[in-house]
Amino acid sequence: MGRAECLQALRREKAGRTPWILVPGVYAGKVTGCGAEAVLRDADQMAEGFLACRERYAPDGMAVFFDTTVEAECLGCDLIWPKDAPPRVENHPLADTEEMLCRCMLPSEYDGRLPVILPAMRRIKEAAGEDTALIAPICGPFTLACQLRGERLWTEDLAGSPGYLQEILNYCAEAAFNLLGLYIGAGMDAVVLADPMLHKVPAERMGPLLADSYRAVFDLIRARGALPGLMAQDISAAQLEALCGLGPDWIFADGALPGAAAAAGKHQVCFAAGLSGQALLGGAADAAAELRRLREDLPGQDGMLWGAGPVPYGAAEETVAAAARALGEEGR
Amino acid sequence: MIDIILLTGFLGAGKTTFLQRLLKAYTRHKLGIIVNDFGEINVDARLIQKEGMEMLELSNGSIFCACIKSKFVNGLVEMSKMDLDYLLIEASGLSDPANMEKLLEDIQTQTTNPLRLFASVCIVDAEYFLDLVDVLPALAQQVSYADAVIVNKADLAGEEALEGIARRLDELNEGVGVYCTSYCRVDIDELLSHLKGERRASGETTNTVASRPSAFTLRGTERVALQGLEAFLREIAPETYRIKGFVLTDQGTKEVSAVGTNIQIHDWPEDAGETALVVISSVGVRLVSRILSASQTCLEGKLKL
Repeated sequence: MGRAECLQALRREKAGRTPWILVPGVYAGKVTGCGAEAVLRDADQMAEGFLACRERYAPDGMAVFFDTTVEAECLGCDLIWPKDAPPRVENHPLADTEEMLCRCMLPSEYDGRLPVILPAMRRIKEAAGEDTALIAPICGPFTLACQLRGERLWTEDLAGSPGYLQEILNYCAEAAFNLLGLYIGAGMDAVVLADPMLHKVPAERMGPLLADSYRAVFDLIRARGALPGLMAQDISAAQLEALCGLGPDWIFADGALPGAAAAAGKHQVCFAAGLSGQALLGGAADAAAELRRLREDLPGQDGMLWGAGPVPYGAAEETVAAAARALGEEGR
Repeated sequence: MIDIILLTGFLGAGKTTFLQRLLKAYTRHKLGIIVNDFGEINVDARLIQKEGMEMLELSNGSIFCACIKSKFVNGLVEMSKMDLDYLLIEASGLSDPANMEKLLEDIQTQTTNPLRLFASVCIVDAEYFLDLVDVLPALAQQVSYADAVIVNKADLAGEEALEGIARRLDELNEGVGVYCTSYCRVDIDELLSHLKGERRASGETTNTVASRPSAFTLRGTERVALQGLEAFLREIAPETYRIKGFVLTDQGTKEVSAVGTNIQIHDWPEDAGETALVVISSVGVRLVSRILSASQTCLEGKLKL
């Protein structure tokens, strides 16, 4: 495990090898046997799930949990808890209004599941912080806006009321301000905006729509001494380049993206190429095939990392183990 | 019976200055004070702190918003137990007082001495009022529900602007007494004895859901160069409605007060202990990036968000 190398790579410094990061997600609950729900609702289970995955797969950096509903829950969304997946939101507090949530609702350490997450982070920091880079995920402003607003964000706001959408994004960025302070205070080395809905925004609209809110969050993470990242799924090369322009230090994206490392390098952004959840779910052969594709596009080099996840709950143990071995080998 | 004098007005209009004048004029009266400040630090309360007065500070929002309304109500009930002649309430700059009388009605059964809204005095910033009154609904509401209006900083506005303000005030609150001045220099007895007789009926406050601007607090324990502070303020002021607080500098503690690009820095006689500067953004969260970059360039990063 190489925390130092991981942080060097995230900063685009010479790391000597290509480190790898793991986002175990709810799969950590499968490893310890507590299940997908308990690993996100119980501080001890969250910490034990992390530590078990760390011991088993030995990555250089790890996300301490993966759940993009933490903020939404604090802001009034009810959650549905599947047995084999992370939770999803059931309702949208801004669905029937043109107004904004009050700032008194912005998350504090006492809200939602933060009383679970923060003690888990502190325990993980103490047990693993010396040799594993610790990454805290915050739901990205756009994905959080989707959760708060629901369908009308797509049918009305994106086309007709970008001003209101900007207000929501502004609010979501303020939620991120609060969380990043708490997470960095709990010892996290890097904070990543996890934004699975970003792939639905056309590349040419990303800058005008997202620059103010995302840049502010990234700048504040950096000012507080941690490394700001962005995690997107299913994005195109053009979207990746547009996202680099928002000013993160590093971007984690899954699947093959020809030219991604070069595009990221142009913006001085570290690129973490991730094995997708789909490939991990498909079995060891699928994961190996995707890794081959990634390698063809991206020779291991300074300023990049390998990654895997979020690992689906249903992924087979041998697949994850084989992928972890292969990613570790890649880095040597 | 305790008479309430409510002071409203936009950020930096001069409410605290007027409150200080009231305190000087009413030295022989028993006064209670509630100071409501928008940021997380109550700068105004520090500016008027005096011994022997009952004072309650309510920060981080409007007293008429659901966020801290319950604290405001508790504060009013507590103040009603005191032996007071007047209760002076300085509302935060974006407070909409439309529901003030209704709120007093609702707590009638809980108060010891009855509370009466004697006067609602709105202070208007002559320099910025016309630019903002149609953008921020709370400003029009503050005027509509006023019994008297002070048009302050008249020296900073031209004749034409003052005429425009007079017309807009008349549209919002026909017949209300208007006092044009600077530094809130008005004859307080005259103002309070010529209040508009009939007050608009209580209504819904626009503060119920907060569309209030973002506010950020800069802190630091290291002293900064005064010249750097001036450069920093000039850099960020165009993207703010208001900046206020206390800053430790190489030339002593300074009180900072800026409205838009009108920046004032004064000596502060006490040791502030640490820097605390509240910044209210006019451009949303984008200001964060500007603050961080300007703090790095002008203040060696010594003030932190």
